Amino acid sequence: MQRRLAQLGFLPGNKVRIIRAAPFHGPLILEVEGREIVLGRRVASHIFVEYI
Amino acid sequence: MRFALIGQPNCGKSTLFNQVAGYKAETGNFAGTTVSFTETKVRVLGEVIELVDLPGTYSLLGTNPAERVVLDYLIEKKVNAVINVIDATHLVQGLLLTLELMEMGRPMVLAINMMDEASRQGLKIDGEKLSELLGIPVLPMIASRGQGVRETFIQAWHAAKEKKVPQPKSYEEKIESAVTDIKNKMKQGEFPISRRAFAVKLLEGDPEITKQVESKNPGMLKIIQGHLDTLCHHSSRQAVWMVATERQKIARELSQKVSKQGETQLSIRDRLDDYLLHPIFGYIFLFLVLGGFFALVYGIGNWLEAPLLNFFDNLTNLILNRLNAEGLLPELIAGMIQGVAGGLAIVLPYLAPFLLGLGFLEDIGYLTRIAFLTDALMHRIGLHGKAIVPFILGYGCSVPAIMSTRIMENKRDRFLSSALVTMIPCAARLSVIFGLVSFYLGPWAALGIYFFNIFVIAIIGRIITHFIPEDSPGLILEMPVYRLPTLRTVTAKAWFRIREFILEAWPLLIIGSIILAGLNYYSITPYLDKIFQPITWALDLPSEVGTPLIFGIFRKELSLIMLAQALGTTNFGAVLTSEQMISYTVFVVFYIPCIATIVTIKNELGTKNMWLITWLTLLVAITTALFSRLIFFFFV
Repeated sequence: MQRRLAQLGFLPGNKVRIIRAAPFHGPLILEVEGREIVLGRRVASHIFVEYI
Repeated sequence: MRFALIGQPNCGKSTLFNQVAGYKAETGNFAGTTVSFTETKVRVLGEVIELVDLPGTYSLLGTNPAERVVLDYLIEKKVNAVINVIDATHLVQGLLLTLELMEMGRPMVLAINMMDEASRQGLKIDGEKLSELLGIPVLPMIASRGQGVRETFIQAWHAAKEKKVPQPKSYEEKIESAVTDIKNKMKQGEFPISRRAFAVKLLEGDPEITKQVESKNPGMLKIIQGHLDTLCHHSSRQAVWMVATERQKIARELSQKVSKQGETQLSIRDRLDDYLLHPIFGYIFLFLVLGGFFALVYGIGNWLEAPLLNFFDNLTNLILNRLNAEGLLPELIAGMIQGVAGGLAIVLPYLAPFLLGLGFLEDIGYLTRIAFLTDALMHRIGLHGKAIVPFILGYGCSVPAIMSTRIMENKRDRFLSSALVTMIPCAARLSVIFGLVSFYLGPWAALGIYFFNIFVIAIIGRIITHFIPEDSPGLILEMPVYRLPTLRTVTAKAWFRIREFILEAWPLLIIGSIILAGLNYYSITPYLDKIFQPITWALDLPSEVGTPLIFGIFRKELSLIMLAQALGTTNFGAVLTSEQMISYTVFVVFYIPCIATIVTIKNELGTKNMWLITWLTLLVAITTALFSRLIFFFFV
């Protein structure tokens, strides 16, 4: 799981931007390392970020 | 010689493959998994080369079946050259896999695909410089237009001939010393891939490779654990993360050295998602797209079905007249023609446009958007957005729908989506809904059956989820940019899926039809009726419908066609009440999947799940048909 995310660019120190969220508590589209990644809320809730 | 195409998902690898693949391309299954890869033969400089298209993978960590296949293929099969395809617009991410591949100790070339897309975004990449830095041939490519394809294969051929193995990039000191130590303690040629790759994989904790080492050289494990502990102690992070971070650092440096970002020319394409994924307009558009899609598929299917059926009817009559004989043989021949006709006239007219349309939606990038939009909804029935693909396919034919559950990561999701998908009325069951309910009771009743079906599927999904709860992490997908697909890639994709139907399901259909004809000839139908008697009794149906129901297991549309034979009239309105028509149709929509589907479930999910799903559908069919009687009892 962690590895899956790492492959998609969710590594410590990388910048993440929320582009949009689907309604009804749907998934998020995140931009990381120049790619748009769709993540369900459950996965997304396990990624810890620092606001910048 | 054998070349392997390796790249991350969505890098245009398959586009490249389809550019070079003739019609001789073959799909194969790797032992033990269901993730398939495709092989074809290409001619390079006069030599015939086997080209294998491995599934898209982000890395060689083997965290999902697709990655496992790629890694195992590289380890076990002889690959003379690797053609690594990366997306020019995601250079850093692409190079991560390149760096990993360079460790494998196989000659390789790097093709930077989608150079047109990159220049549209104002990105300039210096291929020559990258080639110098990496020490492997680097070629710019626009696979969709065939540019750079020839050169790539020629370079790969040269690399394979000269057996030029790339020099892998070094990591930081601590990792390197661990790698070197493990390398030195391994015997030369003990494992089929390069020792360095093996050592790195061991540090990354690859379970399969660790197991191999355990069996061949158990003493190694202690040494490896020692290194892992030291590394972890130094950086307070697991070795797998250290390696990943290192690769990213190298990739980023490389990318900075070779690429220049100029003016970005943003076009409408980049703003499209603002509308298509809009909380309101997005769903309206989704509704229109799917509605238009189905209208088109059924329009084309309908238009083709009648003349084709006519043709086969005439053919049967012609042959039977010629033979001018009574007995078993003409019956069997008629049965065989019916089986051929079933595939050609009833399934393919719907399946082919369906798969073409789906391939188009997929290649243009809209399918991922559908998954995004419907994810929240699908969670209510215990699945996630990816499951929408089999669901959409299910309205065409259950066979490709069940095959497409391969995109789901875990077994539970595959089981649940397969179970639910078999209950979706496919094109054949559509003919029953239209021929019986819509014709005698009106289109609104038919629409009612559709909504009732969705409602029931949702409830079953919830019930099953109650017993086997959702444990998948949910949706993880890369959102592709919108791309205009080429005709060739879309047709090639559709053809591969149609072939699966032709090779796996159609023969069964024909054999089933022949057996049916035989059974019919020996008039065993009264005995068949007996089998379904408890059900026909409970549903208050004439006991003669038992035979069409059994025939329906072979081919769903037979439960309508045979109904005429069983009841002795084509005017169903005269012999069946509306209540009986509804409960019969509801039963047909849900009960036991057709033989072709059952076999597909067995191939994909195993015998146990096949029985489980079959009994489940029977149970659901009886319950829902009884429920429909109840509704009639109270409201009509």
